[in-house]
Amino acid sequence: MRKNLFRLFVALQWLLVAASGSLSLAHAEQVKPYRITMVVYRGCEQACQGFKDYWADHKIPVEIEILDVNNDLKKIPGFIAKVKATKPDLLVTWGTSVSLEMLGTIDEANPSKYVTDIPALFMIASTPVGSGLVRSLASPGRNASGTLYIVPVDTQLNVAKLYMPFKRVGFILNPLENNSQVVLDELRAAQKKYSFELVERVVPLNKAGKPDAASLPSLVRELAAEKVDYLYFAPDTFLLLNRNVITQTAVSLDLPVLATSESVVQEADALFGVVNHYYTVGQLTASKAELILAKHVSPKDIPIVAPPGFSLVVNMRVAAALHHYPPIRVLKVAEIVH
Amino acid sequence: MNVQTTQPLRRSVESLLARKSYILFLVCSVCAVALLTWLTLSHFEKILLPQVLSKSNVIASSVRSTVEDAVKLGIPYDSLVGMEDYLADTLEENPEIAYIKVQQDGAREYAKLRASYSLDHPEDVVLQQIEAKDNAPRVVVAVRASYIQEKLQVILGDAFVVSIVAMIAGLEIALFFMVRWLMRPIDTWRAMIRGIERGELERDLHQSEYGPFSELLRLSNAKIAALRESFAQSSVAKQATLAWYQPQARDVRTALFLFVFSEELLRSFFTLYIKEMVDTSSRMSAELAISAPIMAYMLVAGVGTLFGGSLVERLGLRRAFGLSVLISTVSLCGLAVAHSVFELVLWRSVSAFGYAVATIACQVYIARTAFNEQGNMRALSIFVAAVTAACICGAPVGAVIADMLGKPVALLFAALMALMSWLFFRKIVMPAVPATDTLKQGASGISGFGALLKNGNILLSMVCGVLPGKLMMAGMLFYITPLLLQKYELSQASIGQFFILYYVLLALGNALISRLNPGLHAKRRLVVAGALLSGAGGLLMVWFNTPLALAGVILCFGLGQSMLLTPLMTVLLDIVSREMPGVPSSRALSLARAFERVGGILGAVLAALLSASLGYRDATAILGLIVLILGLGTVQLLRSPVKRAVIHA
Repeated sequence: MRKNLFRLFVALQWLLVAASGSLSLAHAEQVKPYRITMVVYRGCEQACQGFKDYWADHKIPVEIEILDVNNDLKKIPGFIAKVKATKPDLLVTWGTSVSLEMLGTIDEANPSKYVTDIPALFMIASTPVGSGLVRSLASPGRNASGTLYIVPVDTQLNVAKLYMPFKRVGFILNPLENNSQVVLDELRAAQKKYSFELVERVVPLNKAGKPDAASLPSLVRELAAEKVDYLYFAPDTFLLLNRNVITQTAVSLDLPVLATSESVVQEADALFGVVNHYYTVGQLTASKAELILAKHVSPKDIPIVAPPGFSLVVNMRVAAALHHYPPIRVLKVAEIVH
Repeated sequence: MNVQTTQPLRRSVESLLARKSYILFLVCSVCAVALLTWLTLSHFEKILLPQVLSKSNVIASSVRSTVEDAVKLGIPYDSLVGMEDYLADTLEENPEIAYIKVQQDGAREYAKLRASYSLDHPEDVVLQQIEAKDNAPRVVVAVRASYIQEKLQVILGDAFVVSIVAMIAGLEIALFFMVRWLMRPIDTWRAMIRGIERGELERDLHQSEYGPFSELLRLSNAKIAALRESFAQSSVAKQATLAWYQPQARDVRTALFLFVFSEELLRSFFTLYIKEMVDTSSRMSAELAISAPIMAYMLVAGVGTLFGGSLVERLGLRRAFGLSVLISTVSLCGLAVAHSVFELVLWRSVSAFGYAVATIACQVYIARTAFNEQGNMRALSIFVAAVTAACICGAPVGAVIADMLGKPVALLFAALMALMSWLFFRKIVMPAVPATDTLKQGASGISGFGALLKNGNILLSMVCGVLPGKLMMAGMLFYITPLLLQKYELSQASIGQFFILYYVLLALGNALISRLNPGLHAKRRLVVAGALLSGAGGLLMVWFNTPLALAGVILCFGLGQSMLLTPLMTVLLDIVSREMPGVPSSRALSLARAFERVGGILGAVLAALLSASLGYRDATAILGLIVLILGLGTVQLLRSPVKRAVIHA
């Protein structure tokens, strides 16, 4: 049953992509390629690749210029100037931080400081409304729209219960990251429904007023000492940058990590993640881009949605290390990475 | 003298036609069904058994592959997590499996057994085993030996239900043509002969006759008309204002069957239809919302019954029935396009009023065609038989249409059937209004009921005879039975068969009593016995808690009601005509219908309350006890004097 449901989700996912792909017929007579500028945080990873592949798969001529922040947000003002000068047909931003730096919040969208006159799409932004990128998911309210990638907290907790019952969940909060705070609020609200207790730790700030990465192992140790069953890995850029330290410390303390981003499972040591694949998110974002470029739909009229369904990615190497093997029911629908 | 010579002819011709037709039809149907069932079952067993074993082999392979994949992924065989849940899922998805075992030499065994099965009784199962190989474990799947028998029983039950429905529907169709083509022409011709014998020639064929005797009747009528003309030259000419054919109760049977059938079509799926409309965000609980249209129906039908008699008397039979058909058709269409529980309550209330008036109209029609106590008994049995036949056919046919084409389509089909009933009703000859009814046409409904209820025997018949039957029916049969059988894990088809059991018993009992036609005193005894038996069955649930015990409860209830229903109406009409000659019979019938509705509402409410607090099993027993205690009151009817039967020539 669950396997069939999973298959259905995957089928729906591809149907959506295929349906949007049918729009490509409109490009049969297109002569001039669309010009798209992408601003990414750490190279052209899977979401970026999914976005690029979409155009090739649908034989739509595009020219994509990739501007890589390479983990340094100080490069953003230069990229803004370049985008304003080159005036591409569409601007695509990757991640909440890059999106906010390039586009500004909806209440502070100063045209002199941010890109506001070029249609824009963001992807891999955890909480677009909570971070102030848009007014609402149904109606962005500005010249920018985008896609979601985080699976709803309810779904994550349901799957986590299937994997292993839990009573206590640990959470590390980056006080400077709005995404973390939004997810934390959702988890607090879910405590009663899922009968668990949330154990919270806040990352202290260093002298520069930034989150102190050196404190992360001790925070994880504190949570392990609190006997939490899972460490919930929030969709937070700072935490993502420090994913290896956090997850490896957790594994060393026999603490399973539940991830919300696939990179924490695939590239670090989270036990499992209830995620949307970045590649699929990239493809979905490209389908939205096609609406803007080919159908001339304004971004403010494009609702912000996530890909249908989700993937359960299990890191079997970590499962073996922790002796927390996935139950057979979970195994039948899971994607295994080693 | 003349009557004495024609009576044997009437018996012989009609009995011959009816008996031979019924027997021929039944023999052919039973043989066909038996042959078909035997062929199906023999093929089924041949095909199913290897298929089941083959399937269990596939399941064993699938389980082994799953475990093998898990081991290949690096999970040690002894550390497999959630195997019990996984095997439980497999058992749930495959009802034919008794247990599954996953074994590996020198390692732990994973097993899941279905409740009531034991590893120590291998004779109850057929084993399928896939041996261990490399990383793959040995998997043993035990198929329940009783599974094939259970499947066969379900098929037999289905075949039984389909056969019953087909036979009854076929009989109703055959009856219609038999009446229209044979019995009515014979009666007409007989009336012509009598007219000639008595010199009463002022009659005519008011409607065209059909069938093999139509030409004979047309010629006879022409000859009589010519004879009348020749008499007219020598004496004062008389107008041929009357029809040769005098209406019979059987004439209304097809219209009644179709109308009740249209209503019964809803029986199997209407609760689910309401459930689909329930707004979960509403403050009203789902259970209450589901019961609202049902309660509204019973309430309005009860109130409609109170005033239905007066309406029928005021409008006349034809217009009253036409009006009720119009109301029912519109309301059924309304139900088909409804989008909320509120709309369902509204339309169901409207249809309840239509149903109440239509059934009263048919009952009055039947009552007016009976000229003596014996005829009254036969006429009333026709009413019960038509209603029962419609009940038997309605639920399964409605379920099939709803399943195949959707519930709205089934409701539209029901509307069509209601409309068709008018086509049959409008063609029948209306009986004359009896003098007693005519005199009382101006009387108000309330005063009539008041007078009836002041009569102890009538009140007793209502409270202890009519009401408990409907209380048990709504509470035990309609409310508790499906829920309890679902708790026993019986399929929907099996639940339907329990309903059929009741209606078939009712039909057979009714036919038998109609055939035997016992005297009035014997009928009173039948009423008492039936009233007691209807409730006594419920006590079975005190000692047993099985589907078979519930079948016993339904069996007793069906038998009891079949003994009680027709005789009770005759007894009631006898009491009215003897003790309250000024009150029209239709008023007594209306009152009975009203008490039926009250019993229905009480039954549903009591069943809901008792089930909630005590559970379905105890609720059934208590309902039975209540009905039994109420039934004891009918003993008083045995003490009241019996009217001497009047033999009419």
